[in-house]
Amino acid sequence: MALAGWPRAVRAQTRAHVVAFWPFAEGDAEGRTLADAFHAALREQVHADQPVDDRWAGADRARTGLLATELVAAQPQVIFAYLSAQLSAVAALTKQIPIVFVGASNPVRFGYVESLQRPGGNITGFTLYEAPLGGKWVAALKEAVPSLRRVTLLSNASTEIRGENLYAEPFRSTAAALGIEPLVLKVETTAEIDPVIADLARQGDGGLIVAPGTFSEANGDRIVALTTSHKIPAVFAIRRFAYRGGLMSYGPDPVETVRRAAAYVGRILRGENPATLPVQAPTKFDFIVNLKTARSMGVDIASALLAQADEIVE
Amino acid sequence: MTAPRPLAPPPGAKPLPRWLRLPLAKKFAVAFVGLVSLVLLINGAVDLTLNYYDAKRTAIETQRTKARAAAERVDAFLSGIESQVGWTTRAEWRRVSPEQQRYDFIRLLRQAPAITEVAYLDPAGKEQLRVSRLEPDAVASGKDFSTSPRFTQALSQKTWFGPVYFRRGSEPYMTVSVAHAGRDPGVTVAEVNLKLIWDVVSAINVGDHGYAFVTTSAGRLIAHPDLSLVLRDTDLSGLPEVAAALPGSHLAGQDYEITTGLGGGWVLAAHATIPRVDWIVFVQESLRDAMGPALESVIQTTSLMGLGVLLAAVAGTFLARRMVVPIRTLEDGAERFGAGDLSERIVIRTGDEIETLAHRFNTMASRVQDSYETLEAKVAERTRDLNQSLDDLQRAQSRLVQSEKLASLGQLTAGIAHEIKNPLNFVNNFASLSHELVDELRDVLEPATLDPNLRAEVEEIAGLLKGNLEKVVQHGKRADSIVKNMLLHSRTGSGEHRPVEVNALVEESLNLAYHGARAAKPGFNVSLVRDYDPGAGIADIYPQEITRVLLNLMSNGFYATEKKIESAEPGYAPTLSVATRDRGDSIEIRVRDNGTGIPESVRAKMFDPFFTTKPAGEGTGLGLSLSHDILVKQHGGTVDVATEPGAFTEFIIVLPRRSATAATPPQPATETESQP
Repeated sequence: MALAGWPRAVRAQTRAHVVAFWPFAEGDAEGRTLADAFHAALREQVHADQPVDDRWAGADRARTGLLATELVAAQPQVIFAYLSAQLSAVAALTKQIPIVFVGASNPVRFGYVESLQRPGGNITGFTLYEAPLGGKWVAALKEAVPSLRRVTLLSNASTEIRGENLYAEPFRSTAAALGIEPLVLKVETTAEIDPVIADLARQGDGGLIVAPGTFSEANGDRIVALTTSHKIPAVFAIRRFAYRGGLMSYGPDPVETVRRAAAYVGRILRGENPATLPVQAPTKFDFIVNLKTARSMGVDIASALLAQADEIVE
Repeated sequence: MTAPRPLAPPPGAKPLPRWLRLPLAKKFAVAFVGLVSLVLLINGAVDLTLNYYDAKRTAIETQRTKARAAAERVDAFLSGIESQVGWTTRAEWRRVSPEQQRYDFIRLLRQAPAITEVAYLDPAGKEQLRVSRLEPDAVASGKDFSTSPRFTQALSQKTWFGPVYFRRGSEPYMTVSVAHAGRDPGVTVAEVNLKLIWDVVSAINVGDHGYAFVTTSAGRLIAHPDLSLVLRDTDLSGLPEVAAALPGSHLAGQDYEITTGLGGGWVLAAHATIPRVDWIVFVQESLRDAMGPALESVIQTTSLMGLGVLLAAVAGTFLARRMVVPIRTLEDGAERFGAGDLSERIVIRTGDEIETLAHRFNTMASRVQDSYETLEAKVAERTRDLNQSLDDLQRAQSRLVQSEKLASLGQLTAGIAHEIKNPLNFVNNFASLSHELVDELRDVLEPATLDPNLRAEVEEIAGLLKGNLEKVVQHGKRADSIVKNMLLHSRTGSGEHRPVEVNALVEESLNLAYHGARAAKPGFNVSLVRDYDPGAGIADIYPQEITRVLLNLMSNGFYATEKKIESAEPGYAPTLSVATRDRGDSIEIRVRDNGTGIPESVRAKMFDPFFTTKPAGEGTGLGLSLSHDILVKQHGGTVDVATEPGAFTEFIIVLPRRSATAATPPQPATETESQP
């Protein structure tokens, strides 16, 4: 009995590891920050030498699919997937290995979970954004630049369900209420960004909203650079781009959410069933204004708006 | 004396149950340990109960305090929300600019993270401003809330806490509306994300592993350190501790409960309500932690009890052994006594009842030993007596057999004699007659002249004839005397019995015998020794018969001495001694001669009829037989003979003084005697 059980025990031990699947390139600062936060939180949850494999896929879809196949084949105990693209890649490959995600908006509609309170399968996690934010972003942009007449929502595949952008509906209705012409554009490659911003600049009185997602994570810096050079006011869902030179951002703090997701990973490692761990939504969204960018664009931010800002970058 | 069987139960007794058959030591040990354990157990149980209840009360009190504290903290969270919303409820707030109002709301949202949305309803119940974390701000949307409870209730109660609702079925929310101050007020409505009570609830420490949680009055979970339970839309109304606390429960008055908790296992749960929101705050701690001191006391008491029982067991065993060793000694001693070994004594020096008991045993053993020895002596004596009696009996029996034999022989003899007597008379009479006829024949022939030779011859023949006839007469007489003697056997009853002076009778018989002997044989000489007891006195006997017996015995004695003279050495003095002795109820007569004695072979048969040692013609063989008959049958006495061949013969006769009357004389056929 003992002899027969021994190899299995060894296999179980080697399997008892966690794979974290990131949408960043290896060495990316943001990725590093989040991964460190995740590791630290997981160590608090489980034990100091809990092995965690970080997999860096970047925004490349093919590479993401390849890495997903590879890591599912390695049969880890828990998979941690950051953002929708990573989640959809691994969720398609396994119904057994527990997956804890961060950032998949509306997982019920995407079919990852049965309901928020009882996911019912091998997937659970934390959402980052909610659909009404589409309106919030437009309102913020309008308040910052009252002369705004048209806004483009830069969408990408990871925020779309059956061809419909998650934020499109509140975005359009709010824009309409504010007398702004809304435009939802889906971009697939880095090269497609340039014409969008060039068009906005040519039309004048235009603004840009950068929806969250793997694409935005990867191309945010480029968008920041383009909008700055074209003096296009932009609102980012991802907070760090406000610090990187974007005009504003309104969204949750992913570090906090990653920490909480690590707690879920720890609970699953301790034997809890992901099917019974509810999907949680963020409670706090931070409004960040980059005054330096505002000045360089010649945008005069109203004091009322500044008062709303949780953080101001100078 | 039977062998000891200590283990055999009395027959028919029911065997004892097995547990009652324990050895004494075990019984004692069990009793002792049992008693001590019982006392300890009772003491321990009382102690335990008191301690337990004390500790339980303390624990419950602690838990109750914790529940109140937790309720206060949750209440403080609500009060915080209320007071922060209160920022916007000043009387003059209605009059500040919409920009300022919005600014205030944004500030409110920043300061109160739990509030996700805040709205201002004007005094008419229309929504004038709404600021949300998720949605774009709405200014003067004009939505009518004038009939909604969030407006009406707030106006009437100043502050209204709405029911808990769950956004998307998951996140708990509550509407808090606060009416503004002043006349004709508006209302500030805040949507509060109750997820943030988590910060409060998880900060409440309840022991090491306990925690607090909050439910609605319907049992629905609002706050729990494990947020996922809240988000999972958990209904706890089925949990015993919650069920007991819910309004309408039969245990509504009690604010604590010992039951199985959320995660299973026993918990001590206390609760406190927050009346203004109808929430119930529970604190629960595993019973083990909560009752730690009680448990310690239990362990302490139990271990003390265990120690006590152990000590009792050791002491019990020791005492039982000490008690049982002398009892074993006693048992061994008793077994020895029982087996008949009375030589050893039981030695026990315990100075208690057992020693006394051993002494009693020893005393008993001594007594038994004594009576045992006495008994043996008595048994020996009795055995001797019995043997004596047996010998006597056997002798009497043989005599009886002899008597019967002799009696039957005597009767037979008498019958024969009777038949012979008549022909014998004829022989004798005709022989005498013929003798006389021979004389007559001579007389007849005398005158006749005969040739002298012929005469001589006739004379000679007549003489011969006469001689022959004389011989016939002589022997006929002898035969007659034999027949007479034979007849006497059946006729001894003749004569009268009367009191007779025994010494005189003996003397008379001796003289008769002596003179008779001298008359029969002129040269006969013998010295007579007389030894009469003057106390011999009188006996009631048949004197003729006894005289005949004495004569018979004396003449036998004379005959024996005569016989001895023929072969004896010179200097032999023939002697016949006669003695009488008074034996109380009887008289003893001894007739002793120093003649030839009686050989062993003869002695057995000497009382048989017709047995004689004398030469033919000298004795009839009936003398001793007859004497035996007379003495034994007629007088109920005895006759014994002591003899040594070649030295002496002594007949010892014992006659009862009054036996003759009792004795039945034999019934001979006397009437036939006269028959021809």
